[in-house]
Amino acid sequence: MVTQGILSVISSPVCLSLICAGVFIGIIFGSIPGLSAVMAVCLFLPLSFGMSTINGVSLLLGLYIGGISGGLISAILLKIPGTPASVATVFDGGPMAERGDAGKAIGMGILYSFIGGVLSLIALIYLSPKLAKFALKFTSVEYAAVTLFSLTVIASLSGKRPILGIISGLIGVLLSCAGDAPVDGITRFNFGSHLLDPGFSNVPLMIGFYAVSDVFRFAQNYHEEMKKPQVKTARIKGYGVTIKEFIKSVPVMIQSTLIGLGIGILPGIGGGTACMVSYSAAQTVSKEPEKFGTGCNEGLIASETANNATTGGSMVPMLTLGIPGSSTAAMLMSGLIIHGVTPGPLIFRTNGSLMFGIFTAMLVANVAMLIMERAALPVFTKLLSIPKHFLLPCVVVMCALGCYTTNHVVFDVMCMWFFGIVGLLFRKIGMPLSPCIIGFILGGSFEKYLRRSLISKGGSLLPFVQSPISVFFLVMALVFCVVPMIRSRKRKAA
Amino acid sequence: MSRKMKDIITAVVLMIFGGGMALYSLEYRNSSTFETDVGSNFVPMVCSLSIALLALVILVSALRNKDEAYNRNVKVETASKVDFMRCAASIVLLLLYVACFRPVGFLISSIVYLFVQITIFTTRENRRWLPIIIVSVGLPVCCYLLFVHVLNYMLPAGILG
Repeated sequence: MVTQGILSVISSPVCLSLICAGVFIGIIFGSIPGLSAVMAVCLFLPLSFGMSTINGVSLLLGLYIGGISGGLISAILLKIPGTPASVATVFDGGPMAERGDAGKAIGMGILYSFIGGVLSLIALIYLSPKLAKFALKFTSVEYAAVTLFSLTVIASLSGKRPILGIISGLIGVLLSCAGDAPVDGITRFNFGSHLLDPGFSNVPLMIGFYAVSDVFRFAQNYHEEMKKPQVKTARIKGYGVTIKEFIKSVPVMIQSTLIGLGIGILPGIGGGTACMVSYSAAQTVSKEPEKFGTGCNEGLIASETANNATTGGSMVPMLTLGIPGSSTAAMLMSGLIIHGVTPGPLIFRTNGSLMFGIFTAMLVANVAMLIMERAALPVFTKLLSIPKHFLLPCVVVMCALGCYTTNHVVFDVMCMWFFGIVGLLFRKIGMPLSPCIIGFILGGSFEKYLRRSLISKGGSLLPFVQSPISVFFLVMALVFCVVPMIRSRKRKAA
Repeated sequence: MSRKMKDIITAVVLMIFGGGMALYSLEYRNSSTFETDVGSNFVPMVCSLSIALLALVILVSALRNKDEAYNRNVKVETASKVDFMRCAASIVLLLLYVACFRPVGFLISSIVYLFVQITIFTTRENRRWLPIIIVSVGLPVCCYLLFVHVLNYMLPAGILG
């Protein structure tokens, strides 16, 4: 069964070609701000229907893995996170590119994406039934505790003025409240317009904050920007990581893989939360937390390892329980169902060889991603040599296209413009942008799980301290809030 | 403008915003059908009031801060009038681009936007028309062909449709 499954992929040139094509297209989708792995999988899903099961699923897996990894390119080079999964990559990848280490940053991102993806795949192969059982222990109480814990990332990203960071995070949560409320479906803050009934989308908010506000800022500081000498990107050997640096990064790498895997197996949470929690955890345990956000290796490693580790993690509940953990997993699941494969606890018994075929396809896709992105690295870094007065308007057009194609409504493009102005105002008063994005991404989930848990537990908060998992995350939330404060005081005292 | 004044203005604006959103949140009280639910106004209310409260903290600490450097008017290298106009023009241009996205169509509106925006971002010395025209026309056409004819996406055709 195992050999048959593995051979169905590696002995088939068609299957291998489809995986490579999927990874290639996925990287393109992931690297263009606004386009995402979900869109790539969605677009090619009908095409997979005419193929054999393993070929169709392999193509979709290639698109998924390429799309998740491709997000690091725009996050590092343009400082635009195309997806929530690459928000934390901007924090250190962006400054690295600014000081001429774009090649190293992308090389590291590719390598650690690969490591995260492969380690989570190993966990998927050997531990999926146990991980699925663990995921089932999570009720709305535990989910609320996890999202609250994830929101504490804001504390470590608030910069020199924590109060402005917290306000920024609260504004993000408020923005997430626009549209239909969870549980009762009341439409909130639509200001009389039905266009706001579904609320704001992630893509216009992120693109507006990072890309459009950057264009406005460039226009405002035009003469200073034009005087800046062009940063020369240093050439790198291999993936830009020395053996010494690699050995030093092992603890962060393992920690981030575990976080990515752990969050990946929880349905409905996803890569955005994983990369931010992993980033914050790496900063909390680091001996040099002040270096985070200035272009340090650990920050980039934490984000990229974790977001790719969710690829294996999100497959666990999908394959073993039939619960898709993310929208991409839902697409993959529908692809499997159309091919007559029903995900669930019996999948290893009924479709054992296909399962090992899927695992092999994921491994091949990770290897293809590693090779292709490294081969294209010199092309990616060439992007930085394009004069900004040409590059930025082109980025805006691509972003507008990405915003429009997300929901096919011009309102999203309008939101992109609006959030561009809000982002410019934030920059003017020195308010950090990232807490707002985090608040927006996690705020909706927190409210949903908090309300669900209160309804199901009769309005009592006791279950939050009775569940060991919830207690663990609440204690961690406290630690993540208190540790940066103690460190800041120590630094001031010194 | 001194840092103190900047903080005072920020705090006042945030207090008005927080207060306004808190008042707006009152509209959604008692919305839930479940007795044990906190309701749809709970999270927005907590966030709005917290923003207003934290803004008050900024305001009080700004007013109480007697530090000379904090109170001194700092001569910030403000953007020149031309750069300010360039920023304002970029904001208006992007708004026009968004407004024309559907009625005029992606292709034409993008070509015009790119042409005007690149022209705004160049000075007489570094303005070369040929590359500007190639980029302005080439990028939207490539995107349009890729999305519409290869990926089968529907993009607003506008006056060309």
